[in-house]
Amino acid sequence: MTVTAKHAFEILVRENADMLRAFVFSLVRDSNLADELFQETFLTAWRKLETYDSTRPFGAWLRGIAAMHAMAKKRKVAASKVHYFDDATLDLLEIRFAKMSRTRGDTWEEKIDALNQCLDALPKPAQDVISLYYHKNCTCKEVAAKLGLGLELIKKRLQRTRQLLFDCISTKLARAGVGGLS
Amino acid sequence: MTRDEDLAFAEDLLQGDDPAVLAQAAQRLKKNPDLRREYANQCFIHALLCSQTDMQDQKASRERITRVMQTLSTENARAGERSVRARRRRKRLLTFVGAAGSAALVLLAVTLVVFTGGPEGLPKAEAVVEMARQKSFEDLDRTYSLELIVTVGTRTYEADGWLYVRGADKVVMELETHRGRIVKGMDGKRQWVIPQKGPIFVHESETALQRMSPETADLPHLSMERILAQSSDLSSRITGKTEFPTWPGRTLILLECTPIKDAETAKFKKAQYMVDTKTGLVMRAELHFGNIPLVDKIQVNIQYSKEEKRADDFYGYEAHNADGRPLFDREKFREQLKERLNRPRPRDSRGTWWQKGPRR
Repeated sequence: MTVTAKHAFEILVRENADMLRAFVFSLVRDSNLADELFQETFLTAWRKLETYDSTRPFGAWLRGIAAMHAMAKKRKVAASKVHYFDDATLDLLEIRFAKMSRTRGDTWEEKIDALNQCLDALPKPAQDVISLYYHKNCTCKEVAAKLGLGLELIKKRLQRTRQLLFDCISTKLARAGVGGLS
Repeated sequence: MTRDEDLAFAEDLLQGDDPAVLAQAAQRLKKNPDLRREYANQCFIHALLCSQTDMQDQKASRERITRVMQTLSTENARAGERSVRARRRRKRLLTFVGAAGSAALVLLAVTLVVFTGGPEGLPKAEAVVEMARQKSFEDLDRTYSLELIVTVGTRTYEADGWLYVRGADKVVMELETHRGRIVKGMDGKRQWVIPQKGPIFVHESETALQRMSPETADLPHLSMERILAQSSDLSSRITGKTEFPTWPGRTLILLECTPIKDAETAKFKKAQYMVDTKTGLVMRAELHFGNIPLVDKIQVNIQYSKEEKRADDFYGYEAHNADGRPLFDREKFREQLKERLNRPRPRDSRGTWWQKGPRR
């Protein structure tokens, strides 16, 4: 591989890193494992670059490689480190990521701008739960203790908030002409 | 199940701290497509939120990309070292998998031999091999037809059957022998064999299964296990490209593997593979074995048939136990054996056998 090819690949890595990171988070829980999967996916992509069909989106190809690696890792690591997924679930996730990738924007951050807009539109209690759980990295138990609420209520609130976000993003994407997420 | 219960289940599955929920996941998601969609939606938003937090740490993002690029730069320099690691990893996997008669392992065997001993400079050989490796890991149900030819002296016994594989650790082999039907398999954790008659043998270890069921010892995969254990000692060469009448339009690479060390005494004698250059799938394999007690030689032919979705429980023995046979109970068998050994033997007036003197 020439230096030019390596530089071109580096551009592709930079363009797709955030998207791939997000996809990996839909498959694994453990951050070290996520790092490992991220690295292995790009390495495999580099080694198999000659087999890549350039008429198809590079992101989808990367996700395919990541899914393959995740499937192999699933058999070797503890169940607590990975999310549950099978072929059918992977297909559904791929549809959602593919649609998200088709939205307007040069970077993944721009593409998921709809998420920021939807987060801003959430009611305050839902925003608090999301902020503690995702941005401050608290567990459900810690969130429950901080907000003085029951654990089951926090789980339910988290789920409903995600559901709200999904519906909100889906509507925004449909309006933008990409089509709903599901 | 109500919708609320389903939603609670999806959340528990995403949180992943309840093993009971994980155990039910495959079955419940399969039965309920809406629940699966809901779970996928939750996973998707969860991933977006995680990545959003992740992106805020730009320093860590930059470092991750730098690490990838640095690894790529040293990729060629470390190629030799990686090859050794990959070989070890594969060896570990193969030891774990155990049932070497599976097509999945045949695919891995191809990967191993080409990686370790394949001739260099052949067009796209590495790409084909890498694809074959990926293929063997795919969670897809593939069916191969199976032909077993056993030669004892001047006699030849033939048995036909089917080999069903999913990924590297789910296998079912159905074999119609002259003495009846044998089904052998592995469900990812346990190995099992349903012999022509009698109870079903189930164990996590292949060796223990062999000890429990002598029927298993006759099956060719035992020899394959040996091959895989000594795979680094195999010599391989690509003998050419061909087309096969069953699959018109497909170009197949012909690969031949033979043992380097102890060729005279080794059980594995030779293997010939046909690998699809486009997909990396092993379409056909001919495996030759020798030096097997009571048998002169065994030939196993495997041919790819189709890809067909099968139920998850297909790879467990339960799905093949149509006549409701019991499981072989090791403890009960041990107890019976002990009892039989401890039972006082009747002595006649002529004393025990060694007091009777030599037979006339």
